[in-house]
Amino acid sequence: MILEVDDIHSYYGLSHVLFGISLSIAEGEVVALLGRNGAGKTTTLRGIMGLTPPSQGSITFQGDEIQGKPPHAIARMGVALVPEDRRIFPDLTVRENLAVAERKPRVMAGGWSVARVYDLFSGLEKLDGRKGGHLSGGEQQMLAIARALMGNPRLLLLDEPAEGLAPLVVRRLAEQVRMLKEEGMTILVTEQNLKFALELSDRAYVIEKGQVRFEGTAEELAKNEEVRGAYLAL
Amino acid sequence: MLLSVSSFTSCLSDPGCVVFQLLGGLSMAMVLFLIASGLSLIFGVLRIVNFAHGSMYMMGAFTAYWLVSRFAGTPGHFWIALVLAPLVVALIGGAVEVVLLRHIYRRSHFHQFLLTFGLILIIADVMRMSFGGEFKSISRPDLLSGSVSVMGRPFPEYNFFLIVVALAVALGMWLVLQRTRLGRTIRAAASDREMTSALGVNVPLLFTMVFALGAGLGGLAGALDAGRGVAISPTMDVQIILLAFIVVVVGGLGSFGGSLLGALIIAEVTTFGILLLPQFALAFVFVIMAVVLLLRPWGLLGKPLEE
Amino acid sequence: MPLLAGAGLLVAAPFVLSDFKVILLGEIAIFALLAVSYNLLLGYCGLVSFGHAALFGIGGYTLALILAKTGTPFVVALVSAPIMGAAAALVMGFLALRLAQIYFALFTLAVGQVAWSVANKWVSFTGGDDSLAVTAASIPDPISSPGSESLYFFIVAIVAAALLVLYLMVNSAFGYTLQAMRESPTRAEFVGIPVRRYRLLAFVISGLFAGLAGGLFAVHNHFVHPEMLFWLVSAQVLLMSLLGGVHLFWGPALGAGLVVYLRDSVQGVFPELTEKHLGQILTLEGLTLGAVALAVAIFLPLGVGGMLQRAVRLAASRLGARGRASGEGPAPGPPAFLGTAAAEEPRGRR
Ligand SMILES: Nc1ncnc2c1ncn2[C@@H]1O[C@H](COP(=O)(O)OP(=O)(O)OP(=O)(O)O)[C@@H](O)[C@H]1O
Ligand SMILES: [Mg+2]
Repeated sequence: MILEVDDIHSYYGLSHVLFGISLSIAEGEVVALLGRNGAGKTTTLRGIMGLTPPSQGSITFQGDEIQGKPPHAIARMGVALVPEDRRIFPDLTVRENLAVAERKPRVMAGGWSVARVYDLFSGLEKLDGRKGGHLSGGEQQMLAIARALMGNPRLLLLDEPAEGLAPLVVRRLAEQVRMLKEEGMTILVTEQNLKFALELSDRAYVIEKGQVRFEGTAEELAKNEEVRGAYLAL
Repeated sequence: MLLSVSSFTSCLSDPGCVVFQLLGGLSMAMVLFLIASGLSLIFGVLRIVNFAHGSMYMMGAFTAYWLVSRFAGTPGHFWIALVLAPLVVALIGGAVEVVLLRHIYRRSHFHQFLLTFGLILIIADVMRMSFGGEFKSISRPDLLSGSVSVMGRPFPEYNFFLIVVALAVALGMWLVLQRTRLGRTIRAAASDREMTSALGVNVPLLFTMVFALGAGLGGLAGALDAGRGVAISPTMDVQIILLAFIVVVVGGLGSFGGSLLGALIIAEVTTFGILLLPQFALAFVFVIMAVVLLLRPWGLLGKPLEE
Repeated sequence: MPLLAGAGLLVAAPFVLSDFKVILLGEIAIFALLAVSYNLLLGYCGLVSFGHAALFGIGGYTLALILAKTGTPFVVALVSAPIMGAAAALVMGFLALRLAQIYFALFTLAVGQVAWSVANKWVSFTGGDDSLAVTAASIPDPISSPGSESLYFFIVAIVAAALLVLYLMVNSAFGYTLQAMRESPTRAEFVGIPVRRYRLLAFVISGLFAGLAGGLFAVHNHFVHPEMLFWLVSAQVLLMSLLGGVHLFWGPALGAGLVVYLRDSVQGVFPELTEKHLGQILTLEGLTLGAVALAVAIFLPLGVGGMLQRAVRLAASRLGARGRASGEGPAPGPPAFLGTAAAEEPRGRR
């Protein structure tokens, strides 16, 4: 298991949001984290990244405890987050956005470079000098993923990548994520909508009110009307 | 009585006087720019309004004074002081960030104001205890003790030196911010510190460096001003911090170019204002600050803060 | 009960304490009023002003100038002080309240400094840096001598009455509305509360009492000085408020007492009244007050008052727990406007 989240509890101030979430991901797997608005998907990803550290429970990444470590240390160990709202640096150019995240490649890994991410996201190259704030939603999403890759992560956390994008753009995005998967990238992706997630993922967790309500393979979830009806938007 | 129109108009009608005043204003602007750019940099990245920034300037001046007296016999002692003083202040600034500021980033801005206010009091008292309350000064370095004739008037060579140094620093800072990895990271952290940390940047360390850099700029201004012969005393902090605020507000809090523009405007207005309204030039620049805040709170070159 | 005991102590004080201590108590009363009036903005509206010293000074100068330049009776001069404070606050607040947070703070700083420059530089009118005397002859006899019991009672009675008015005000619908706006101005605006008008009223009332405090200061100390208007005095009032606890009505008064007392005790002896300028705040007591400021900012965001409050609650719940089966509910956290504690991570800015 590359990532193991064990019984984490998270708070925002005094409000308790996660009530003992546990999940695990094997190397090379794509796992979906599903749930309605406010279920706790973002909070879980932020917990793994160290941005909203859980107050209880443990998170191990490649066997090392990362719970309690600062976000930059977790990032340098090989976790990268593509947040829900993308968080592109608006005043930095596309290339600068990428360069901020650039880390020295680990010895063995292929190592991502600006040229390689431009290869994968062909639309980005011609935007090289444009300010991040002047990109469309789809372009921002590509850049956000590309930027995350620049840190040469072993685990990619994608928070609702398809949100707010036109169907055509979503299709292309799915294609790009699949290419990443083929390269062996481990991905944890959250979604409210089933279709995009199930198309890509091997397994899925469904959470509701900060607790895991279902876990299983994508096919099992696809067949399970009951879970889908109770916990997911249709 | 309050208005001295005659000295103002008589200067305006004499090109020599105008150029001379402009140059005087320019050397004042350069010192203001150094201070304000440090203040603005710290605000832009850490989102802290550092009321104790004037204290960094003061420590720069006192450190320069101390070093000059310490190495009095050594040739080039002034230059040693000029290089070391900002470094000392930067180190102190870094320590202040690590020991104190770090704990209050998430507190309300009340507490942030309070903490930097406390720093003002403490630093002023430490300076007073170490150096006494009376005015100190150092003399200009021999190399630059003369003056140049500017349209028939003697203009100190040192002030030219000061202008050149400040412009070089401005250019250097701009290059660092725009062209280097550090500068890029600083700009990223200024706009979204959380995302920057999630991309693997050690943001706490970056904050320490930025605060040290900002403090060092204040310290450099203090040392340069000390070399000009400005009176060094434990009250110079609260005088200069107000001018620095005016400059960053006019130019735009957090904007580097704004510090330069603001400094030029405020320095020239003050130099010419003193001719016209000898008593109230300072009141006048506060009025400018108030008016800018009302019309364009983010300053001439700044950008609106999202709340 | 504690209130009665406190009142008893205040009445007895001048008969048992030395003149110096009585003067100190009078000064504490004046700064208590100044700090509580400041807290109407800080604690109840969530606004940091650096122009409060200017309002305080304007009150003082109003009284001193009227007495020095005209033959107007003392009472008129005394009443004019708060009125001028309120009028100045109306102007300052009307403009400042367009701005949010730090811009508000910087604007009040700028306007306050304009007032300070005028007091400092318009020498022919205000006397400038030489300060302006309020002669004993211009003050009615019983209260004209510093350190006298009658002056002390005069000051304490006025301050007590002013604090009572302020207390009733913040515990009225007006006070509750201010607090509701503080938590979320946009939401308040949305449900139809004219936020700016409410805040302007708060600003004017705050200026009224700051002006009154300034007038009392002039009577008490027999002079006014430009440094009364200097922004560092506002910063010191900020310290008083936060030290005492801005979420409590009495907090700033407590903080004022502590600061004035500390200032006095580190100087050893109370300095000669005539020599004492507010500008001296940057001398001997800087280290002490600075350390207090750092300690409050880092360790005591709710101030000494908050600490006392918690101790009282804890004691009460210990006593009450015997009767009840289960423990107490969650302790209320600090008000949101004071920022979050270190363990909580707010969502990043967008
Ligand atoms: N900064 C915050 N402060 C307080 N509560 C928060 C904060 N962020 C999220 N919450 C609450 O935590 C719960 C979980 O939120 P979270 O953002 O993790 O949900 P989500 O599953 O990502 O929802 P969505 O699909 O809408 O993105 C929600 O009830 C939300 O209201
Ligand atoms: Mg979410």
